[in-house]
Amino acid sequence: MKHTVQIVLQSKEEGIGRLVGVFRRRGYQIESLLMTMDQTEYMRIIVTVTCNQLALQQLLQHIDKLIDVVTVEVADDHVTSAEIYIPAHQSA
Amino acid sequence: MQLSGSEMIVKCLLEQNVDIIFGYPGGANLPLYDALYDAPIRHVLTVHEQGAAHAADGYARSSGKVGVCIATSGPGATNLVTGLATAFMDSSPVVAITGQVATTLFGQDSFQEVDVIGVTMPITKHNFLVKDISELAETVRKAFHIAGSGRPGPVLIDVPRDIMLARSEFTAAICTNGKIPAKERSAQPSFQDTVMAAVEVIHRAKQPVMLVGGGMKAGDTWKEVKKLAETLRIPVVSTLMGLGAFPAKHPCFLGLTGMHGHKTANWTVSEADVILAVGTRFSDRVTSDCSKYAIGKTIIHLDVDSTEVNKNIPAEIVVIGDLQRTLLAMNAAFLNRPTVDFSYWWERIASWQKDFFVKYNTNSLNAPWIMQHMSGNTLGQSVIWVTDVGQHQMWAAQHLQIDLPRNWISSGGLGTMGFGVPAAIGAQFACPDKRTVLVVGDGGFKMTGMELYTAINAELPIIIVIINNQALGLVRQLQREFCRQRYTESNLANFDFAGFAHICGALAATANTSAEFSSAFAQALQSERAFVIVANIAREDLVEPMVSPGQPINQFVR
Repeated sequence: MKHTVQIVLQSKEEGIGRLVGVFRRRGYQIESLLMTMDQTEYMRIIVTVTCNQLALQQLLQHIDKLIDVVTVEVADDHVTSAEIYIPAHQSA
Repeated sequence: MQLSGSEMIVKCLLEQNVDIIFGYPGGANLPLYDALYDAPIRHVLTVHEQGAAHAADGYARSSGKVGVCIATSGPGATNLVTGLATAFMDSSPVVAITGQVATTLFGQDSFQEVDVIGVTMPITKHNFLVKDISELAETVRKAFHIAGSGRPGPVLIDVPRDIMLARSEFTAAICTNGKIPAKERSAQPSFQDTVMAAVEVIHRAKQPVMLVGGGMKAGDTWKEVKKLAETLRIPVVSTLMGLGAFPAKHPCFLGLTGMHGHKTANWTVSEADVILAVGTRFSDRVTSDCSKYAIGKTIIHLDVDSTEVNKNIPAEIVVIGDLQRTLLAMNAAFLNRPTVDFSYWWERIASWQKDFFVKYNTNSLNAPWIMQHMSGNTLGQSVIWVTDVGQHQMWAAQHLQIDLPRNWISSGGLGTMGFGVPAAIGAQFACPDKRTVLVVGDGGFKMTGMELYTAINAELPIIIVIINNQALGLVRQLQREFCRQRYTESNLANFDFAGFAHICGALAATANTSAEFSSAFAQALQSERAFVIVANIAREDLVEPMVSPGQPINQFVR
């Protein structure tokens, strides 16, 4: 099932790389990712992934374990992920 | 007070009561070395940065304190990588401080510039790049707090050269443990309810077993586990990382479990109806086929790290948090309950113990006998046993009698050959009152054996026992079983280890027989200098038992 996860991260440059690294290392395919700096100190990230409930819970734990992560929650009900159409094969 | 960045780092290390660091200088960390020139901190120059990282790790594992290593930018930093990954996999608290090129040279592929933050991200608990002198002191404090708290792990701080040189106001703090904002946690069942549920399951169990792991090193957890085992009289088995957490000679202790575990220990786990897992992550070396491991069993999992539960083995009851606290609560709950009779279970265990009893011959020198001999001849002495990785490590894990959790230091999760010599150096520095005995293979010794020179310079009386079978023994054993005895690159030419030890300035003896080994070990125990014993054993000697890969842990290849 497709899930939307909302993460509030301390806005250090390394933070986003560390977060994306968790998805890659634990075998989750990021389907969409939206990142906004909402305060000077924090950034909000909305990620969609497809996985089962158990895998989702594991993912949340792994994200929560990151020192930079302030909060992480499943936002399936109240956040619509932004889907922007970008042609896959744009000619140069 | 106005201080340079380097001076601040030194001040912060002193705040954390750091009295020793392991490292290697270079261009980018030159200011830091300049600040160390007259600092009251001992610096140990290793031969290679990998040695510095393993030594800091060995120091941390044996003392429980945070180990510190430093390296310069670029190759200095990348040479730390194996050491950091080793510490990460085994949850060892290490702080690494690396020099970095000046911020003005960032991203220009400057001389000795490596994105060490990117490189070490997956192998550290956390890492920091300091780009503002005003954040430096607090970053160092945070790093120590993160490394040592919760589930420990390595933390790297990358400090550009211009930040080390910049000056700013410094306010001293006394071990503030840099505050980390508390996180909002999802609602969990109450602690007391879960503990009671666990107690209830154990109380109803017919054939329970306690499985202890590396998490037992925290605080005095081992005392609570011993108390629990004695109250309930339930069998205890240990993972490689948990060895020493439960006294080896205790009647409840059945030994090592896993791929090369004792047969009785593995059978006990296989036949158990309840597994009480304490501070262990059910690694594939412990479970073999994880899909079969827990069939028909109730798993109770106690751990400080919530990501470890239900990762490899699903657990019915989970208690997350400090292990000592959890076990204290369990012990308190069992006080008011009638004892359960597990005599039928113990009879079964005793029958396995009888069936699987192995007596090792003393006709030819062999590693199991060496381990038993060394344990027997150091009774009553406090010894830190350090190993490298390979056959000798498994023989040591199976046959040494280890009495305390911090007296066993071995690279488990990462299985890092070359860990042994530098880790033993770190351990000996941390515990000058204990004797450090390193058991190492001939292959692993060659990887980092040059650190023997570090041990000699520091006048450390470590005892190094090289189990020399002129082979990469565990690789060779796998080739024997699964590659039709085609020994590709696993037979090694002989090497004059004793001659090498002499050249480094160590004492050395070679043993081909049990008598020669006894004599050499007796000399080594009396020695105040590093002493290398080269124990020549047969190339064909195998680590037994050995679980068939992908099979349940009570099905053995041999």
